[in-house]
Amino acid sequence: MRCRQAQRLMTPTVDNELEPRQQHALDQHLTACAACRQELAATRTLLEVVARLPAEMSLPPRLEEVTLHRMRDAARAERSERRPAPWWRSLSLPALTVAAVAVLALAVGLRQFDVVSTRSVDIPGRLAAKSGHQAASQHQVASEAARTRVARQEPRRASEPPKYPPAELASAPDLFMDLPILRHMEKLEHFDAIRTTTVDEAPDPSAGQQERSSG
Amino acid sequence: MAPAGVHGKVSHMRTEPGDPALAAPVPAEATARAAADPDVALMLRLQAGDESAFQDLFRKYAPRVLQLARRFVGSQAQAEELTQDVFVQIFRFRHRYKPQSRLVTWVFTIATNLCLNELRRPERQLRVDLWDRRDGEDRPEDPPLPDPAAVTAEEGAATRELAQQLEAAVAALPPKQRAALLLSRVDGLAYRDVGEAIGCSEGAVKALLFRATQALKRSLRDYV
Repeated sequence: MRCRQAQRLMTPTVDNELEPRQQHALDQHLTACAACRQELAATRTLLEVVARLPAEMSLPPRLEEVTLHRMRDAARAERSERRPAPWWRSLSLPALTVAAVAVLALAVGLRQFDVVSTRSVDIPGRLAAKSGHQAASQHQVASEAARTRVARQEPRRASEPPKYPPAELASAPDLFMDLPILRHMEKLEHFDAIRTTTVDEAPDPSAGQQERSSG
Repeated sequence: MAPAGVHGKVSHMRTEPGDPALAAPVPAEATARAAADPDVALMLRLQAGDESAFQDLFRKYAPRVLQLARRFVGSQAQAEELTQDVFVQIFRFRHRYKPQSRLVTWVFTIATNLCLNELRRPERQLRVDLWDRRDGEDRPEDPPLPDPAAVTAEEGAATRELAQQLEAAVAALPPKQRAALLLSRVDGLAYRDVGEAIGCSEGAVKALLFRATQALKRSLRDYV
């Protein structure tokens, strides 16, 4: 054992915390090293002085009272935590938010469904009149009529899907995207436009042709 | 840290013995240990909701906790607040105490952790720097230490001077070295318990004590 290693074992040996094997090695070193014996004596003296430092301190008069007061506060807090909370407190905020949004979306969707159903009553006749004057718009008129029929047939389609696509839908593949969820989303997105627009204000198909010819 | 100071307003409302907020079931094996160790019996009484057990616990350990805290933070007022915090924590976590471990170790574990946390606070660092003591200047909050071994006036003066130098040297140690030294030499904890209190192994405790002893030897070479 070297002196440096011996010095590391001096505090534990004073505290009787050395393992027997280490204690034996230290004892052997000390018999041969006067400097380490002197170092051990100094360490022992120092640690004895440290051990004589007062371990306790007299308590101020009100410290116990104030600590008891705080302990009772903690006990009261524990009691209040143990009271059963109202049932609605068990619901988390995200769950409540999702439920509120779902109810709102359902309300708006039902309202829009009523508006579209009411409007669709007059649409076929008006569209048919326009289709007699402009052959180029036949396709779009057919599409509008198809949409109208789709709107009329919606309750039945929801319950039983058609076995083959109607002619109007077959001629306009884009209408195959007429899924209820997408339709309602569109209504939600253009809620104000749909509510204030009538069939008379619908864009004239010839306007598109004029623009194309002028361009 | 405690929001209220030691001299804050105190209500005299008392909790009833057997308060349900305090009570908890006591296992049979713990009862057997309580018969052998009065500290375990004290904690079992506290776990069962006996407020007087808290007072007994406070009277038994608060003087040691206060002294330890004062040696960590230096300020008497802060040491008193830390002592309050320690015993409030003991109350809050009383059900985590296992009768298998020594109560004194558990108490000093809580106390040491709170003291070390206090020293880690940034505002504390600033305060320590501002209050850093200059050479030859006594800290006004340090009470004079008793010198029971003194026989003559000269010996008494020399012992007091050594004690003051030693307190200053201990206060200058890094927090973990200070904790290891105080818990092992002043509070008499075994190395294993010291390791439990400061969260390290016995080997690490030995290393901390070696460094602390070397530092004290350097600081007190004129006296020891």
